[in-house]
Amino acid sequence: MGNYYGYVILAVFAVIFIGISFVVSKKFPIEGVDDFVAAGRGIPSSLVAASVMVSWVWTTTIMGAAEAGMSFGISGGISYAWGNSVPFFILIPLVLHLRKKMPKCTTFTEFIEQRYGRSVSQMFFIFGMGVIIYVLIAQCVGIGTVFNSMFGIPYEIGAAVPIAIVTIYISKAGLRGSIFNDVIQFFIISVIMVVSVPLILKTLGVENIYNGLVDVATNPNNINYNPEVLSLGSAGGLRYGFAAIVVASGQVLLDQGYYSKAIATASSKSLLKAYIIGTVVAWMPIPIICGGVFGCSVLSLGVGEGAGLSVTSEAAPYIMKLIYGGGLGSIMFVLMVFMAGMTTGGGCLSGAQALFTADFYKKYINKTASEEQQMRFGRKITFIVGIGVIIVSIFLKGKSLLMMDIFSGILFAAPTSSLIAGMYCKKTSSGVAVVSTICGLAAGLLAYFLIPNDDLNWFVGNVLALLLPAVIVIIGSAVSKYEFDFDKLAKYEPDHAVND
Amino acid sequence: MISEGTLSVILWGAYVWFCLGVVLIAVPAVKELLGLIFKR
Repeated sequence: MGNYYGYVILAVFAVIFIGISFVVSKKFPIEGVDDFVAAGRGIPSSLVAASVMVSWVWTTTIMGAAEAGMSFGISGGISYAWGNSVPFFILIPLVLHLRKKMPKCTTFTEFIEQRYGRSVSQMFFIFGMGVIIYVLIAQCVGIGTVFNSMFGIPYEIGAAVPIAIVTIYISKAGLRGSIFNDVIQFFIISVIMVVSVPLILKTLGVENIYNGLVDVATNPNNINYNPEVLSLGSAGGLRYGFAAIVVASGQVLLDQGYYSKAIATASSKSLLKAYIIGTVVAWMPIPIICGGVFGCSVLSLGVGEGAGLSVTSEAAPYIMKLIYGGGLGSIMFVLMVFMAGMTTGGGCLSGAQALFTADFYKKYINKTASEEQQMRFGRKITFIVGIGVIIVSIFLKGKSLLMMDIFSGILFAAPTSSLIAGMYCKKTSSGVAVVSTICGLAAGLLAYFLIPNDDLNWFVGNVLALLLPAVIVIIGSAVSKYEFDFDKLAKYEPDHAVND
Repeated sequence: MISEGTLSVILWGAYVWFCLGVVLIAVPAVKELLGLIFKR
């Protein structure tokens, strides 16, 4: 398909989304830091539900789940779904608790500072930014790969332009602009999925997919030979699901974007409704569809890495090209990945903007700054982060999205235990928080690099990165004489005005 | 190893589940969006 279409898509949606951000900022003028980073704390639950759902639909959810379907068979997409949903069952009560205990909190690093002190807060700030940068890079790589594969336009352009668009609209209209664009993107993704899935299943036929998978399971000469491809409880799939819990824990619990949306919701009741519908009801079936419909279909056709695909990340675009040819359907698939990447990137960038605007600037750079200066700084940082991510992404062309995702678990899971304990347990001290995080990170990295078995090292690394800190936090808190006074959180007053 | 019927239930079931989620979000979201745009 001609690269002309790719450039038209990029240009048209650049105009639409940047245009929306200008309209939103004109219709709802930003009145201060709280309005900029928390949308005035009055967003209705349905808009937040749409935003949370599309924020958790990554390029990886579509392409990585398809890749998991190829690697682990029917259990791949299912494991992706339950593994990546578990952290939300921790996040939802956590943010509800945070709203109740610390009503004027905006960023999770503000909570950490009150709970554990400034040094620990700085450590969490670094982890939080690490998650944001990693997630943004993953979106760039995913979108760049799809534009390159479907339209033949240079990977570098496909990776750079979408994040440039997001950077502009987030810095212009803040969180409110991000949520409005998310809702538009929610409708685009949903319509494409609703139309495409039955078309693929009808065209390929469930019977043919099944017969192809039986061959994969029973024929050792099949290029994708995997005896467990039709097993719901395959060992590989289960391992992948548990690793997904670890990977997603850091990505959810340390992503300020989810805290910003939770705080932007009009009430705690709306928050609960929005997060349950956005994640369990609307998001969970997507990886099952992508793993089952895209990944397993590719397997059933006898296509694999080196035999029709250059990398397994191309499983989803391969099926869409097969079904729709070079026509409208290919454009629809690109749009879906394009929207998924932009919404996830937008959520992360708005989180970064919140961290720097509400928490960083006045504390470390200009103690007497006005709210206008804080917002100006936040906008500049958003541009710096966006440009930095684009540059790094260009060097990651052709990297496996699934492997990048798995490795990120080792990097970001370690601090989550002390974050959770800090919310509920008065006996967890800052020392325990730091020691548990360092031990978990070190153990995860050592396991990954020292265990020679490539099928096992990522799994052991991920499990250690999550569980070792949990054990240290539990034991450390049990023997500690330290007691935190949670009333301190209720009295917290931020450096900027907060809407009640 | 699952049967063809089970595979069909998984794939079509996930599709129906997804459609339900979309409806639960889309209907109130449209109302809220229209309300926000035209009320102010």
